[in-house]
Amino acid sequence: MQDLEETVYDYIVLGTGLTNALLASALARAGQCVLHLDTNDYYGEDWASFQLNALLQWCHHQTHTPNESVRYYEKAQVETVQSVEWTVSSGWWQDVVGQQEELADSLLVLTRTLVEQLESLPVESYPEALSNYFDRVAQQCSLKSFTSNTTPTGSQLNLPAYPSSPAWRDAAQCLIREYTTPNSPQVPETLHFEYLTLVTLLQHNRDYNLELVPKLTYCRGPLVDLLVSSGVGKYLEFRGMGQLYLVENERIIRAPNSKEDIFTSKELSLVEKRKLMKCLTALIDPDTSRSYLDEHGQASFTTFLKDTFRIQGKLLHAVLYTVALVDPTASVDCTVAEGIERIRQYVHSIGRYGNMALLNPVYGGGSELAQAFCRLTAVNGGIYMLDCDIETIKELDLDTTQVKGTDDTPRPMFEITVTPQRQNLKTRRLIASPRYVPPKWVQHTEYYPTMTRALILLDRPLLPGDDASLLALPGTGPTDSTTSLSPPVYALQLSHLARVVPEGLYVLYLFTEATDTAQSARQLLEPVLKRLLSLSPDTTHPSTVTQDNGKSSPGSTGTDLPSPKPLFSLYFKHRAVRRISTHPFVTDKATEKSQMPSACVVTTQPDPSLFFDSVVDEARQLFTSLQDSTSSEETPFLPPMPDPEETY
Amino acid sequence: MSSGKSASYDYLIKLLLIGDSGVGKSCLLLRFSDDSFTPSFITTIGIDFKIRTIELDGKRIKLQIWDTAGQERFRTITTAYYRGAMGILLVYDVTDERSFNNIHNWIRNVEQHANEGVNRVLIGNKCDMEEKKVISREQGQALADENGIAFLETSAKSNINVDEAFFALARDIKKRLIDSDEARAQNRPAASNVDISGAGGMNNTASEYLKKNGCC
Repeated sequence: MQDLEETVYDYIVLGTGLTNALLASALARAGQCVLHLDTNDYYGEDWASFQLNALLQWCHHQTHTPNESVRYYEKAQVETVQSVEWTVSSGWWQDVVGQQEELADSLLVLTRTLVEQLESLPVESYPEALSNYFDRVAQQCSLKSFTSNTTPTGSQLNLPAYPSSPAWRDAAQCLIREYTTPNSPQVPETLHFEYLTLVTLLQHNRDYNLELVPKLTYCRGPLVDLLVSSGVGKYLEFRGMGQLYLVENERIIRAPNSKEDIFTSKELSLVEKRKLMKCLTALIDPDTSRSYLDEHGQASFTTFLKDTFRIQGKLLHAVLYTVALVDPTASVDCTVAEGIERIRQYVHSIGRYGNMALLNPVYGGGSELAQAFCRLTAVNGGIYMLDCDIETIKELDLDTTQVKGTDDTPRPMFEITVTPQRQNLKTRRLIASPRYVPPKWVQHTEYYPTMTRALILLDRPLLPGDDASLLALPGTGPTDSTTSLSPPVYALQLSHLARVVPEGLYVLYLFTEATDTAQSARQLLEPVLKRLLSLSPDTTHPSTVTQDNGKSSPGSTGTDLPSPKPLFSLYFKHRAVRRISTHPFVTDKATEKSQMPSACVVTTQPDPSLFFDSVVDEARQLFTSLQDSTSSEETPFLPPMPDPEETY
Repeated sequence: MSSGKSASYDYLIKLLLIGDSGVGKSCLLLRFSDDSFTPSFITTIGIDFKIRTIELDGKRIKLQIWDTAGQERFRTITTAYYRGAMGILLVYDVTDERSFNNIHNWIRNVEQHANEGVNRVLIGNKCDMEEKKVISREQGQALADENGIAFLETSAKSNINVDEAFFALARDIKKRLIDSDEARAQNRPAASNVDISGAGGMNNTASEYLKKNGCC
């Protein structure tokens, strides 16, 4: 077996986020020798997606300071995630248990006893006390012939049989971990209900692929084009986006997604329809749009739409948030140039794969995309190591003879020591995502606006149907004091069809910019969730909701159904790095040539946009900048792989 | 995935190979797909998947068999590798006890990431190396029974039981997914996914889209 330490790699890539994965695959495909490392035991960094138990573990790591054995990367780590809080519903099981008085009473007694116990116990004894408690709750539920097919009203999920399902144990472990923090525990009197909810959710653990930073892609955009041309698309599955919605006057209304929608829309007046068509036609026309760009390029897109096309009110919201799909940021306004580009991209995307402009990757977007590109790297000889501790990253002294290259072995520039085997890995060049860059190299760090994000598991759909749907709540995000802008909150709903939740559950992702840093993510988004769940559903087009699997879903059959209940909620803030500038490196004294600056490339983290697509341009540009400028031939970026079906 | 190319087959079945480095997964694959064998040890580079179309009960079945691309070496198999697999060949080396003991871990991985009910077969490869053999046929059979799966000893080098292993797995999958009506119904929903590589679709340009219904 080839020894890792003997090789001088062309590239060591640190971090398996989407940009790095793309870049690594392009380099490996171009014949470079690539070693790809990640300190996490999962792929994707901030683009990751998790099964539910792994998500709870991720939460735990974010909220608890690491112990004494601080890893190298944690010292260097750029803190991207803050204000993490998760909650589990207690009300969901309350009604069911409440009907069995004896059981309800005994569960309550158990919990009260636990609360009293914990008050007198030292912290070290919490895990044992909690563990005993959860055992007894589980026993009570099975002893009292609390059948496994009992479910809360309207739910498709059952409480699994005890003790055959590992869900009981998993749920207990998650809660024990959560309530054994150094501070004294604030155990709620309804802990047993939270426990039952978590048990129910964890029973289908393998069906979850929950994302930290969910994103979409255009049907005709840089990402899909690259997936098709490179052949990486064969590793992936996609689904078309369903309906887009807007909240106007506390009502959820369907946004016109296509030309047909514009004509048939009952929400728009004839005048509005005309204005909208005129605006879209002008913006996608190459000649007229160029003149707009020349004249207004960097001006505010919102002002431009109002002034040039007399577009306002809900029509303005529809253009901004369901066609241009502008970033939900308040500290940065969308420019005319960006707005026109977004609209062109949207309109050009319609019709490529059907009557929609957007796709969502099945099985949890960014992580799945990153893994697909990592596989391409591996197929081209790249080596992968996850879950490795990085002890040091050092630049090699160019004057030391031992690292001088001979004619046929290129000279290494960096040495990375990974534990526990203390392997010293040498590379000519380094590609690192921000959290891996040694602090002493960093001159300046520039961030994207801080986003506040929520991930909610619902027992019914908020938006009708099982297709992916997107909802915009205009002017709902916190107002920025300098720009006076108030961004929309976007809500993305996915079902089991996207293979991200078990059948019968829905995941709702909320995101917007968090300008008010004093408030926690939960304080910012929980009121938005409450408001959303109280809104009257869209009743304007009940018949046009299409069902994929032929079954009617609760949301599409009527309006007097109970509103969805949040079963699990996770809130956090995410501040991603846009750019890191590093100190200039030492000049090679022997040749007087400064070759170091390009030897380490720092990539970015997920931006606030709704789309994956910007990653492609970033990776392509970095790939080009890494090519040997003396070579006359241009190395193609991710050319198609030979088709195994044709070589047979 | 089954659409597109000229339909020279009735069904497409996706299979995976899994097991420790050096147990001969790629050799089994190349023996089955190309009837070739390379004795030197090279960590898998360049094999994504291989195709062989076989005939079972008068139906042409296209087997698409995926290799690990070397990602088993440091246990970095992508979860994406398991998606949509209908059958899995769990391979160990009869001359390497560790590879046999690790089968437990691979089974756990499969349970965590592959589709529920995926068909599996346990393969003890390199059965031609009788002097070096450390795992007996009985041990292999016992492990297979414990997990309720089929078992075969093979040799990619001497071409022993290779076809049999793939055929046995394909037959089980055909029974589960193709022969029963219920299974066919289950198999359908994926059809509403978008096949991006089926490219182009309707090539409406944007201006066509806006002009098609006339102006308002």
